[in-house]
Amino acid sequence: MTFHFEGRKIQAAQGETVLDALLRSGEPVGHGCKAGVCQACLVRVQSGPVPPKARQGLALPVAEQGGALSCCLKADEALDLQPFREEDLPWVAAKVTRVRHLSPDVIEVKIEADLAVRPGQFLRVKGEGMERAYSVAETTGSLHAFHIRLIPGGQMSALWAQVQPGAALTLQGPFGRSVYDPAHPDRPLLLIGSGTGLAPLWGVLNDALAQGHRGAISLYHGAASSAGLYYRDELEAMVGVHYVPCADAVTDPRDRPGSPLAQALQDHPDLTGYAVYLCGSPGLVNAAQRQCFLAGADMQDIFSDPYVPQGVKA
Amino acid sequence: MSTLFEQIGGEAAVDAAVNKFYRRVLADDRVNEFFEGVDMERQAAKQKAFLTMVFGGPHNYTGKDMREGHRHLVQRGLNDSHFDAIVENLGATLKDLGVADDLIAQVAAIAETTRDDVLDR
Ligand SMILES: Cc1cc2nc3c(=O)[nH]c(=O)nc-3n(C[C@H](O)[C@H](O)[C@H](O)COP(=O)(O)OP(=O)(O)OC[C@H]3O[C@@H](n4cnc5c(N)ncnc54)[C@H](O)[C@@H]3O)c2cc1C
Ligand code: HEM
Repeated sequence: MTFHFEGRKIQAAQGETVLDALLRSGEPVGHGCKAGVCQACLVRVQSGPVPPKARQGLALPVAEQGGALSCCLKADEALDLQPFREEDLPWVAAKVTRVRHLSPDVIEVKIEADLAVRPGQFLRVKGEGMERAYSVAETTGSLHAFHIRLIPGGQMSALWAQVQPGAALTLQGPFGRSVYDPAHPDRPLLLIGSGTGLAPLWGVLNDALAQGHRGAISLYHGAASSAGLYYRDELEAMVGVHYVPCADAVTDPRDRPGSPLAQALQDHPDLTGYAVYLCGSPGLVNAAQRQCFLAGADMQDIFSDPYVPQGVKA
Repeated sequence: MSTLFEQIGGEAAVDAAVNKFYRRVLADDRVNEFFEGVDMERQAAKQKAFLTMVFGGPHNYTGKDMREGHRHLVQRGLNDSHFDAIVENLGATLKDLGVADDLIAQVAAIAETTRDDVLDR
């Protein structure tokens, strides 16, 4: 029998796993335990039967995008597969519908694009000879919103600084796993972010509330100065959210001084059973991943998006 | 007679152990440098693969896989003392979970069979 992988016909024996058939055909698929645990052999299923075991333990958005473990797929004529390469997602046209300032250096850009995105995921935006990632703070049907910090001297920032309603954009996505999971409505949520790291957190937060989340929700937002803490009034007014603004240079008496991570861990020293969302500067996010894990949050419940600058090689 | 993997509690035991074990490892200054900068999201699956293997569960890793998978760590100085520390953390995790001593000894014995491959000798 045969099945399809990237348009090619792959020969398989009756009862053979997809992974074994791919490896025998010389396809360069990743693999490890070959027993449905290590997730190294992920492929994308366009069509065909997927047993539950092939999706066990996968992040929600990965499973939604057709991800499946090839070591747990039985070869089947009906299977049409692709490598799970996120960069293969199509680019789509989008239009800017609204631009407004949220703070002196952060703008909200609303766009219209035919893309199904979950709040908290991110999209890639094409610039002039470059691409940059932006998190989705809001999404309703085909309308999505970004929060974008205008960085002096930044290549994409220079384009954003001039963007007007009606402008055409080219986007790819969605990417990322930092989304609200409605399967756990009672667990406490801890959201920690800096700067426009608030964008995905705002998305997750509103999604959680809209889906009737019952556990406590705490948001620690940090910025260099009090003036950078955009959405302050909206967050303070939100029912069911414990909002803690933090700034390195405090000029507003409502703000706590210092890092949102330190403040969050001071208030929540034991994170057993929490889901934790971390977004913003890579220094903060990487430190927070480790510290939140050591404080008791489980690996699979820590969702993070470090805003690694793409214009500079790491 | 059920297998060691079944006696320990199968996949549920792996799920119960994985965070406790990795938390111990990251808090252990003897070995945590080897896990520095390793992505947390991918770790859960890899650590589960490790535990499934030493619990005697289903896997298809070969000695060659273990050799290649840890060679970059051997180049960074991975040696017997680190190996012993991992086995110690594993035992302590299982004890925490109430696993019987004789089962822990069997897990340690499985880990032991991989020593020369992991240390690339
Ligand atoms: C997954 C992901 C999600 C992201 N989501 C968002 C988002 O929602 N909103 C948003 O505003 N940005 C977001 N970013 C960052 C964004 O992709 C760009 O890196 C950022 O807009 C800068 O691009 P640029 O072309 O203007 O600057 P570049 O020309 O790439 O860089 C110019 C200079 O600015 C420095 N720099 C870059 N980023 C920062 C920064 N954040 N703080 C300080 N200095 C910096 C660079 O090191 C460089 O020296 C995200 C990044 C990732 C990886
Ligand atoms: C006790 C015997 C050991 C066994 C059976 C073992 C097994 C494994 C397995 C199955 C994986 C996952 C491979 C994959 O599919 O990607 C792995 C990865 C890894 N192991 Fe081990 N291991 C052992 C000892 C050690 C020791 C002593 C260290 C270091 C102190 C170590 C550090 C690592 C690291 C850093 C990774 C890779 C993580 C990554 O790439 O993300 N291991 N090991």
